[in-house]
Amino acid sequence: MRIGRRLLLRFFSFLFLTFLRSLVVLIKAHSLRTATRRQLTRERGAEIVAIQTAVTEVAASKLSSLTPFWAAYKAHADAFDEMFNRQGAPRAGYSRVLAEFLATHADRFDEIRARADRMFLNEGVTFNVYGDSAGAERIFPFDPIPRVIDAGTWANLEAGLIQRVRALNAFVADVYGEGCILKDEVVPADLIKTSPQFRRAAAGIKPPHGAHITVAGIDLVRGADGEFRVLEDNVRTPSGVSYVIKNRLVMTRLVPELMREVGVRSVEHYPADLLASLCELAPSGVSRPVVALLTPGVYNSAFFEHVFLSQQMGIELVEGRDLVCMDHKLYMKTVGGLRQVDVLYRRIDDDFLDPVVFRPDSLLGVPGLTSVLRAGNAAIANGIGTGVADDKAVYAYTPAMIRYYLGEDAILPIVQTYLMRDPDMRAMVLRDIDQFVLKPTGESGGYGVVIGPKASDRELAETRERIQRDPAGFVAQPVVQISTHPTICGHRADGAVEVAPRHIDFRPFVLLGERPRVLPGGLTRVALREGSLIVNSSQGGGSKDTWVMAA
Amino acid sequence: MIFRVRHTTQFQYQSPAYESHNELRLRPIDDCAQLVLSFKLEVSPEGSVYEYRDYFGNRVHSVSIYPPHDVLMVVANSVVERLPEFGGRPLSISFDRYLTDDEARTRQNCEFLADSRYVPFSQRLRKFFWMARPRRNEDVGEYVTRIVEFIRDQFGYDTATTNVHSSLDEILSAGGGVCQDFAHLTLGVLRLAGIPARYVSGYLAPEPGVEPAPGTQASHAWLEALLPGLGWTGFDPTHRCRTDIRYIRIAVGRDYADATPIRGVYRSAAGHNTMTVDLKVSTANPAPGVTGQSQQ
Repeated sequence: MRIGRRLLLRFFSFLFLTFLRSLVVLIKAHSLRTATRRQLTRERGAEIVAIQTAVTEVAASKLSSLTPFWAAYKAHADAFDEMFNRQGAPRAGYSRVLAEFLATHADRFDEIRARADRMFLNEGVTFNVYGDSAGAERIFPFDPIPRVIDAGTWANLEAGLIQRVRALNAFVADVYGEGCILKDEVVPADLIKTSPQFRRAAAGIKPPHGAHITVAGIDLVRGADGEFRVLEDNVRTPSGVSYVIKNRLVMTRLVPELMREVGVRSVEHYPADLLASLCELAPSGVSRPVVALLTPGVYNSAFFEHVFLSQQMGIELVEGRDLVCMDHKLYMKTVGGLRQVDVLYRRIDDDFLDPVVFRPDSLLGVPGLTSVLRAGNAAIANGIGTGVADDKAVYAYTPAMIRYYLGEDAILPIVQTYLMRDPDMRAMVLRDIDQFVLKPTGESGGYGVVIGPKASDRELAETRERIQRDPAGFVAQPVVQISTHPTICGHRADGAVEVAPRHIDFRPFVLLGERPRVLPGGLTRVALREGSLIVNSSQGGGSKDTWVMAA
Repeated sequence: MIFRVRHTTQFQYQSPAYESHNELRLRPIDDCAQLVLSFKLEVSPEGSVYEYRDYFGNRVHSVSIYPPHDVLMVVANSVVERLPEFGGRPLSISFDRYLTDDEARTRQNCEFLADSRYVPFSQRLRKFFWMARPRRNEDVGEYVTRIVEFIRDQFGYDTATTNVHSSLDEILSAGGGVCQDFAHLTLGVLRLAGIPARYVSGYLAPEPGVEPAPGTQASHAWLEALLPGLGWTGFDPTHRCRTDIRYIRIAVGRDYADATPIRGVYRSAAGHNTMTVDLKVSTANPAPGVTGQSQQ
């Protein structure tokens, strides 16, 4: 009897275990199938996009009939609308986002935006506006309607961005080295050598694997034809990536189920990628490099970002006074004594970096740093003098640069640029000055830009005079009808939120380590004032989350 | 001719200096006009030294001293063989013709034609240039000689009115200055006239057979103009002449800022430092075998 009971028990436990095992096998098989399907989806990305678009057209007509909210939206008369095509159907990539979020959550936009603002303020995601009342911190206004880039468009953008940053890096290495592109007169030598961004102290500094530019932020706009164009390169200390990550974080918290369902590519790994790129700069033989982030301090407009990135990367945030150069090596002062630093991610301008070589009155920098770099005992990102490549006058030569260094045609076109140092171009532009955008070459961040068609007569007269006084200090570009995106703009009479087209631009980030890494996303800035074309945060712009679709 | 140079610079600090970082441009230039037979740098207290070539080809010693010190002493010992100047005349060319390829010259030598930190194209300089402007048919080489003499006629040698950081406008209004000021002023006029010109820092050896009194020698500054058919040609406005075998070049650049002999920063609790310079340039006994060459 006892034996029988024991047998029975064994039999049942055997049965149970077998059942469990088969269950495990089943689950495995299922996950395998899912993975294969994902794989296939990735391989046939292009076709699938095409099919989706077809589906979208149908869905759109349904959608507009279903949601009067979106049917009421009026696209900009001339600009490229990012969300809807001329027929009013959603563009590639937007269909799922519309169906899953925009159409169904329209009544929540107000609440989402208010909660987002609170979250940004609580987390201290703020910036300072220069020329505003001293030290006023502001949040970067956030618009919850995301900007979507479909996988096919992104693949082309990514290739174009890598190509561009590679060429810019080769240019920096060249002008501080052999100067071949100047000797071959592809780029005029005097344009470079009289540029205020040309740093003679960078001559002869050879960074590991030739990386002068480690972090680049390339500003893109989409013209009336829908094609992405490069508006400006930022290869000194580009900022804004923390907003990309924070925007995503806020979006994920506010509509948690959404990201997974619509298949948005993640941006959270950027700090890890940045750290990897920085570590690759370490002098050879250093297996576990010490990396630190050098900030000018709390009064800098991007201080929040410095804190955020150093925390995310798990590296020290230091100011100039925390660092010291000794025996042509770089050290940071810690409670445990001096600790050697191998790589410095500096978020401080060249001018303030090293008082021995640059401004002697600078208290923000590290005396002796330049000679440490020259001796090869530490590296910095970005290198000294990279600003020579993102000058607005040099920009005009970037397609030639890409051909010269890479032997390729530029994948991303630029905006036609007229150099005011050229007398013929100057005469042409000054004749119809109200038809052009006039940009000072030395400035960045939208400061000093005059938009001809929007400027007053007095402004135009002043600009004309300034150009005549300092022709090399300006470039002119035709006005680009930059694209618009549905954006929340106040309320309608019935109390519902009003959605209207507002101009946007785009700043993706490229990391040039031993291999290039492009953040799948970027900062979409939106000009919140109607008709305004200037999207810079310092000039009253806002931002949107940017969704790059996985497929 | 072989020269022996001992250039001593001493900084005395009121309260101890530490974390001192310096860039020294004290090693004479090695080129077809002069050979550096030996160079020895003594720094006390001892620091770490890293040597490199800067953008303009000057040899720079980067010297860092970490521990606190009351006195910093830098001694540069050079033995330089100075070869005779080529001494030829520049191609004869009038300004009319010279300026027809101004654009090409600007592309090649823009940094020696543009304004620079110590040579800003101020209103005052432009006014002075207008007074000293070249005539259309004037020979370019003769113009440079005329300007070098004109500037020295207008301004007296006066160590009291200017210091190393004086601007061109200060010299123009003070009516006097030192070698550095005359060099900067000449650079400004030549650049405005469209002639590429660069700053030279160096030593001027005493005349043969003259034994200067101790403590009277000082480092010198002059300029070089890029002349057609001749290349970079030295002019010394302080002595109203073209440079000769007694001029030993240490560094070149757009102006004083690019060729500063000693530049650095240090930390200190308070106070000033006093700098004293002692320079001895003497003719060395020519080594056998180079006698023939050096005494041409």
